[in-house]
Amino acid sequence: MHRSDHSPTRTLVLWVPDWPVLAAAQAHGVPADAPIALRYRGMVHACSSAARAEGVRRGLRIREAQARCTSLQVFDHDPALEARLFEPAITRLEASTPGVQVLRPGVCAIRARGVSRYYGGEQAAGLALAGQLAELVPTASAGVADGPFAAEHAARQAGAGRVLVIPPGDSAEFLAPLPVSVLGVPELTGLLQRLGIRTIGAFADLDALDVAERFGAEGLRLHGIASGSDGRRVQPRVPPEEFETTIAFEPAVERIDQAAFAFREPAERFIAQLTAARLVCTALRIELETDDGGGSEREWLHPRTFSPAEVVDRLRWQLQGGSTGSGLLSGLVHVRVTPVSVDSIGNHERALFGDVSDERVHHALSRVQSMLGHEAVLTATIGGGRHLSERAVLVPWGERATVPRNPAQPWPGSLPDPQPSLVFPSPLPVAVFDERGGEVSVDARGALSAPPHRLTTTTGGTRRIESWAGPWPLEERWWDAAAARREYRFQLVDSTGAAWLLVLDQHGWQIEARYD
Amino acid sequence: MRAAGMETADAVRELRDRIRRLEQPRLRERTLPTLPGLAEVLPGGGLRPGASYSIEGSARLAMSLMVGPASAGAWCGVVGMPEFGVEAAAGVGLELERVVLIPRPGEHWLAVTASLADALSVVLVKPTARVGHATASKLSARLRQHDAVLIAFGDWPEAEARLRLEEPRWQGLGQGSGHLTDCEATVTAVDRSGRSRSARFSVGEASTGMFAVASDEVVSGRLESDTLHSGMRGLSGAVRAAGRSRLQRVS
Repeated sequence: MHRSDHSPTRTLVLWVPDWPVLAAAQAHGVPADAPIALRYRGMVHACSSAARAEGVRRGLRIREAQARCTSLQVFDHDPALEARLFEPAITRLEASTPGVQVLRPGVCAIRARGVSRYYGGEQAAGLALAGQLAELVPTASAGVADGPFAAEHAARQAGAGRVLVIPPGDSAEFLAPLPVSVLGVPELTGLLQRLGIRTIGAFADLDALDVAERFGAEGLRLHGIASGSDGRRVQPRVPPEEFETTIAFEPAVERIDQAAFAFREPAERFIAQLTAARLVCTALRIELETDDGGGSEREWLHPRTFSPAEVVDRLRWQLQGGSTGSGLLSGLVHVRVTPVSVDSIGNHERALFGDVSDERVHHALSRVQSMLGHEAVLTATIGGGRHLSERAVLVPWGERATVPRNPAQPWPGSLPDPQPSLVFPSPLPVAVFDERGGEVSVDARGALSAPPHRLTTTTGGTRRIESWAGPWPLEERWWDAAAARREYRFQLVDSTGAAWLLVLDQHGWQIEARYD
Repeated sequence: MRAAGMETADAVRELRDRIRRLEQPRLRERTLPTLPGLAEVLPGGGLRPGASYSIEGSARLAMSLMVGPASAGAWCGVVGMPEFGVEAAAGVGLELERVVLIPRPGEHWLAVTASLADALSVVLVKPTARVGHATASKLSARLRQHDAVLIAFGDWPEAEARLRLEEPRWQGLGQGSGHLTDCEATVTAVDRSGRSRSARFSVGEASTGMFAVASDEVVSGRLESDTLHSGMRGLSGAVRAAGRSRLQRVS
């Protein structure tokens, strides 16, 4: 019994190379084969293979990385985004095998025993599951070994779409040539290197008692991993519970009231099982199937939470959508209700003291997010920067606001107060003329060709300019051809009393914002 | 026959107006906290829970209306305004951590507004399509149920008051020199029965970005009932005329 606690579990690990980079590329709409680096605390956290080919490495300072690869695109490391985008892959795996543990986004572990029996061998199981994952991410690979650590490194060496199986007991041998830095504990591995222990094998050769004495419990654990006895167990994630409720009609029902009456009991069961799990339902989906093969599917939202009677109401309303009077156009054979968003029942109890308005706000906004998408609901903070678009930092609801530039710094060149109240997301092109009708321009030295006299919009409207100020030059990042910006800003008040912020850059004159 | 029909319609309208006037509570009722200057102009002395207001011509005015509720801890939502100037809002005194932006609701703008009205105290919405009376009263019922306030940026039927910023006078700009510092403008509120109240406000550096009363008199006017139905534009013109005549009388 005691031995089995320490003997490593045969583990299958599925690995997607550079998942954080792939996720960032997907989220920012950048091709994944471009040179990309993710920034974390001013260092490269992860980079794409194209960037690696140019000499970019994990742990490099961003400046240094940009010097090595000038076309490098840098994004922030965002664990929440990486986890969210990996969710479909987990769902895909869970469709073919239970007990998937996500070690981190991009890497998941499964106990090899069950799947290898099902697929007829560890090699076959690895190939099958890597194939499942490869439908979403073509570069996925699999590894099977004793314990998650060895299996992950086997997967790393397998190559895209392939599987590497390390036979039982051979993991220590497989790991031996790897450098100690793969253990991922910089304090310990740095010390080991200084002591002349450069490979996992050399570390594993040390006596366990000596390691325990010198490096403590953490060192002993790593020593165990290095010697191929990774005691970690695969801890399968608990998949979200299934609460769907179905009812089949045999023979098909023809009337709405019949269907609604028959559905009362299942609706009560539906809410009761949610309540038993201490959950409430704020949105649900009703799927209908009719005997002519058609059907309808619709999501219903509730401002608070659904009660059984309200679930029946929603079914009735949905049936009324495709009916004549009280009769249905075709017989109803199947109804399925699934909760779309559930919440802890505690958030919805009437408070004894105070109110729960903040939770209510959160539910309402989450509901809007489920309607329009995650990025449609935003919160704003003020960041640093010289451009209006840089200073307004918008973050999707529910995510932590990160302000990339410090607003407390002086930012010379930013606009003086008061700030414009309407900032146009895409600037509106205009033409500005002087008194003689010539277009006003600014020369290379920043001098204005003539005082602006009137302004014409693309729709043909013309307004006289009453007073104006500018040009205020703004030249940023002249050392970086891709990010360099050079523009002149003007404030002006037209004959109707409206005040505008105009920008003149290489695209011509544009209205950037309005003061009203 | 036709003339008789018209007469009935007129009579119905007049009766409806009278009922509405009788229904309006005499007492000063509960209002949301509102900036003192704006509270003077609004009918009922502040933003009334469950009411809708329409604003024309100034996003800053809409922001200022939200300042009072937001600083008292209420949540505000902004729907359908990708151009909402976040920095200006902060400058006016709006607490951004209690503001939620839904810049591009698309065709769902009405559903989104209704959802927000269930939980937030103030919702600023820029309608992308014309709003009918039926839609407006449906939404009104929801607002009343949850004691929320709707501020429409643009025209809105059945608005408790229509606010308009007029005659803005920007200061600080010369011919190629200076920068915008201050703006003086008249804010006019016209309530359902056509009564108008207006006051001169200033915004800018000097007043830390807040709306402040530049001159302390609040001008009231009364519209003729037939101009009431001639649409927003005619209405505001008449209000301006009425306001101006009163202004002269005061000064």
